[in-house]
Amino acid sequence: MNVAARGFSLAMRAVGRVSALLPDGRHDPLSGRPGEIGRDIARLDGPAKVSGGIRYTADRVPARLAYAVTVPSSIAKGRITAVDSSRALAAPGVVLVMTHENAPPMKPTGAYSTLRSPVAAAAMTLPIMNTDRVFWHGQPVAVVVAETQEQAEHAARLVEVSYAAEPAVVTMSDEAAHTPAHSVLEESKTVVGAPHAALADAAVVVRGVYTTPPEHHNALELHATVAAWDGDDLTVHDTSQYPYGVKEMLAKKFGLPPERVHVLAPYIGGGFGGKTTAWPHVALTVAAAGLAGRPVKLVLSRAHTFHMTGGRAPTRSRVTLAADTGGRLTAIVHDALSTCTTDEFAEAAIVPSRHLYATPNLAVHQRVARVDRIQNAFFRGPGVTPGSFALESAMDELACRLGLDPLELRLRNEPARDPVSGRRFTSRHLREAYRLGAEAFRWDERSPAPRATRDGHWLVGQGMAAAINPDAVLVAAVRLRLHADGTVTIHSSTNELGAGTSTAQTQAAAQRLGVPMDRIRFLQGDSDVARTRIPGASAATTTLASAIWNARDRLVRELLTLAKGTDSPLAGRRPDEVETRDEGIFTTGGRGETYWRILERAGREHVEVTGRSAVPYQTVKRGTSTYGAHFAEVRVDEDTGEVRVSRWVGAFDGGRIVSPRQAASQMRGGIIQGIGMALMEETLLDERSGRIVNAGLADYHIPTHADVPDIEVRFVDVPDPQTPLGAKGIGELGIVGVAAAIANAIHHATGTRVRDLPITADKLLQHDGRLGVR
Amino acid sequence: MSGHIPVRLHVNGQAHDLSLDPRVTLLDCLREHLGLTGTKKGCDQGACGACTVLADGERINSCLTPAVQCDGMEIVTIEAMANDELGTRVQDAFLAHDGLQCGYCTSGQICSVVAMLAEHRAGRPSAVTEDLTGPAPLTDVEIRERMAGNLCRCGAYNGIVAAIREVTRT
Amino acid sequence: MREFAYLRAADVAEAVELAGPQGKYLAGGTNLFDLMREEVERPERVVDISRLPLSAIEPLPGGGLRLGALARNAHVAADDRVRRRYPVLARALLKGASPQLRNRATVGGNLVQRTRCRYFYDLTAACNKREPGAGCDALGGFNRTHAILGASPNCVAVHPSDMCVALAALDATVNLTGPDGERSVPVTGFHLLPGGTPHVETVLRNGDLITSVDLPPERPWHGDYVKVRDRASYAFALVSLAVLLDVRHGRTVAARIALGGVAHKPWRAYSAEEQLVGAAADEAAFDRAAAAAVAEARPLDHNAFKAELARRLVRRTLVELAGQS
Repeated sequence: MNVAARGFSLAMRAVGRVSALLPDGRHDPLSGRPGEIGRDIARLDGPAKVSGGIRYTADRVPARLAYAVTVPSSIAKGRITAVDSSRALAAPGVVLVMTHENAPPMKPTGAYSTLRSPVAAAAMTLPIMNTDRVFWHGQPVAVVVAETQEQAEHAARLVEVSYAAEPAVVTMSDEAAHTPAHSVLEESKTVVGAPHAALADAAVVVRGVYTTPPEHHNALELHATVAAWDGDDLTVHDTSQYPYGVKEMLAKKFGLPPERVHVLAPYIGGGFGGKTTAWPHVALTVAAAGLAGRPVKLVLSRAHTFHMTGGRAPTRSRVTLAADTGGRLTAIVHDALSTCTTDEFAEAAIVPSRHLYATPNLAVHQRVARVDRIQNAFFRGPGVTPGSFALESAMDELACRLGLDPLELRLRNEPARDPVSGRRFTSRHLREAYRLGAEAFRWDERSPAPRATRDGHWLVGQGMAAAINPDAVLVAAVRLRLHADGTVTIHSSTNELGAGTSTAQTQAAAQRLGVPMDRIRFLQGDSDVARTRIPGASAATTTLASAIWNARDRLVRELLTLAKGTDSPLAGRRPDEVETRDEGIFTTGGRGETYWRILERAGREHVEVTGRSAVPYQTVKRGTSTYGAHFAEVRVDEDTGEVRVSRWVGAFDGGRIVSPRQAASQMRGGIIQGIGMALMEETLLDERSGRIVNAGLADYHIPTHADVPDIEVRFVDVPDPQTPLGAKGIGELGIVGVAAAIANAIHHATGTRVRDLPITADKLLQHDGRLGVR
Repeated sequence: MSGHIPVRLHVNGQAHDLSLDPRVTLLDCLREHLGLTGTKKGCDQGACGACTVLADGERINSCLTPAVQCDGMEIVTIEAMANDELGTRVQDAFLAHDGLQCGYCTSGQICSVVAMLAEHRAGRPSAVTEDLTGPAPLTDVEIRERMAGNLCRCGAYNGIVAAIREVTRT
Repeated sequence: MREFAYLRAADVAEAVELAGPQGKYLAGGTNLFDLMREEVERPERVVDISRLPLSAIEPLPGGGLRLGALARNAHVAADDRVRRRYPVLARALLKGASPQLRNRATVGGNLVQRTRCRYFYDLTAACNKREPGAGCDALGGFNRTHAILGASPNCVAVHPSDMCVALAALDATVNLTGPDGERSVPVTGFHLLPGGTPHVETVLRNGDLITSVDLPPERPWHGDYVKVRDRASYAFALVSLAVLLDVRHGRTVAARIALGGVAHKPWRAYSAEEQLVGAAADEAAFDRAAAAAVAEARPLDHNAFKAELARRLVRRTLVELAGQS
């Protein structure tokens, strides 16, 4: 293990010891109460979305706009020896060509991808377009700005770049691997007990190697940036999940005071982690707008979203499970390998193996191999998503070996405490999720033997898998303004990715303040509201709820101060004596008055407070995770190896569910992306050139309508006693375990085990070197 | 080179006389020239359906259609759906069944649904229609196949299918 | 996309004249316009033929059916005569692309659509089809979707069409007009194998315009079109198959088998057909035919599964069709 990894491990152990002394999370009085929270309503931004009325980044067409197109490198590693822009510059409509020779200096920033502070949004530290170095195939090496999109696209092909290529490493190997500093903020190597001795003594041992390929997010909205300078003021519309981080990054890169940089991103057309970090084109658009002296819009082509924004790194997991004859795990050993770049981020497949099952002996070790590829990115369920394919496939193999129902095997290994840290959970209702899911799926009707059911030439099978995802509360602040008419505006620097954040927060704020939902406006996506660090991590619901809770408390204090010394029934009351309800503040005895009356008496147009999220002690002190269980049915054509998913039930413990309709949609979305991961998704990189060859939606397949059955979603819906609203973040949970559930169902249908994603027809036909599902 | 081409487009009932670079797609024409940004660009290669609009009543990928080829055609985009009885019902059903998340593919999905229902009423078959000689009932399997040209990465497919079921029931 | 001269033709003769030897005809645009954007196609003159009166579907004297070159894929598939008399063609069309694309794509355009080989699309890759003599990066690259039959060391690309596979099975005829006048070509001879000239994909000569496709009078076929792909819809074929079978009194009187996704052209499996005709319509014969269909297969690194897949599809489809007889 290297120095950084050892240092991180020591720090984590210290945190572990100290954390026992921390307070628990504060109990949210709202968490169990009926009201707007948990009510089944349509998403509030829906009417605008179904009428095409939402303005996304690329929909901005400011006056004097010029269009930019990036030029990708055609080597994976080396040096640019010459750039000839003359033909491009001579093409009709071309405004400028920016290369490393004329780009303004852009100061490097830290890379968010490494998860180290400070945490500006930059995806990487590499000085793109301030160097002649080429770090990956497809790196932007020039930006062409022209009067029209068509002119820019054509001129971009006229830029002639010469290179001195160097040998590039694009595939991962054990030889080149090292232990990363951390694995999604957990240590990269952990040993509990004596796992290898346990393997030697075990009644049953299963071993498998499981691989997942590189994958790309492919949000339907293309990455886009529209940048406009006004003197030293910079306004940027960007497809960012993290507008505040983009503001910090641009301020640093261009040497501007942060207050001069305004980043706007209210609505994003899907992110899934791909828009968590700012890829190089963001700063390049800003630089090009500076050179052009006019607003510039850059929309990455679909191909360029593959070449110039990162995806999920490939993983290879060696998993060994040992159990006694009663099906109790005696050891879990999980060695995982993935890729990384200069800015180290590990797609840490070991994560679920640390937390999912009780075992006295455990060894997990994550390693990464540096490659000359674009920085790998966060992608829905970093680490847990590919890791759960490995662990949950292995559990199925163990169940088969033991002759035990796979659900029963999991129930027998449900832990009372975290298997590695020994910490208690804030809440864990996975057993209930298993029960809900199994019941809805009628799991008990499943025949135990593989290859037992057929329907014509379709072999039918059922499989299941567990899901886990760490829950995080991050940093956010909101500006809450109470108006004289009693309406409320809440401003936030977060944005709406489609998860339903704005709807859920309006519901929660309505109940928190005792105000009807139609009296609340939730405004989002402006970086200037407050320091807000929610780039992803399923953290928006609880973090914003925490900030709004704090804003409510401050508002009450402000209003009680206004009431002090007046004839208000609230005069002289302390905050802990009152509650917010019925559009005002009232004592438990029922004395009080409405918000507008307080403001009217004080002669105030409005009262504004800033609320900040609380330090999430509970997530440090105890394990806070979300849990779930997937039950899948597949049909496999015994002649062709084609797989169709025919039935699905997912049951989840995400604490209290704030906005059920949107929450269920989000779980379905995760499951559908998981179906894609299981059956069709793979970014193909030609090892000879380092180039991604299937950089498009015709070649990188994602599920269509026809690939997706009706998906039934159940929630345990029990509040977590220590989180804001009693809720836990569920945005990523849905995808975790899906690929394993499908692989397990395919095994049940056919008797064939495929350990290499995606499970395409050819793998079923050629499995184990012989041709035949038959 | 010949340069710009005069084109008359009828978009959502309004005539526009334009002079266009023949490279401009119908999609970019709508978005960048006419300010109708409800129609989205998801791939620019006919592989996602986000750019779906109706041209003379038929759904097409506006990203693969040169705008100059649409001279004289009647184009209908998402912006006109609120004035269309069926369009409004489809929009309402999308809301009721949460047939959307991020909203980016939604314009294309809704235009596609409106055209798909017309195709079905006209008796057009699909790849999953078992009996090609007669009309096919609009089962879930039929709906899914007929909507397969509209990708949704958020995965709102269940809600979209439910919305279509509702519209066809009423 | 490069700049180009956009020209509209008032009639077929004017179209041919405007196009000249280097011009490209623009019909639905679903393939050509995409390739132009990638600058794989770089025509200086583009003649928009989409308004020419070539979209009719008309009966032919003697019982066949003529499909206008500009008839949209969706309209052909929905045509009552096609559905009743040539269901294999309707099914092939409906399994291609998406409803939106089928509303634009035409019969003529589908015949000349170009391969989806990723190296053909990638201007930084070596491709003999795009640049004769440059080499073929697919040979040592990702070739899971490439040809197993009829390929050459110069090119292993496959023809992407579904429609053409059905037309090959139907023994359709392509009608052309061009600078040298009108002529007709059997569809099975329309597309070429790559050989040493993979950039020459069809028998079309410069300036030739496809005007229609003739379907011969129908026989009492039992037919089907099956397609295996990487997802349930909206994807190109890994392997597809058009089969027409005429079984009477337990014997195969006539059979046609065409494979898609396996070769540079829609692949008629003549040797498989020979195994069937005159023989008993039983599983042994179907096994022999299925084996014959792929006997000449020469797999690449990643596509050996296609031969097995094709064999199984042929066998199963024959069994099913015989069962309907």
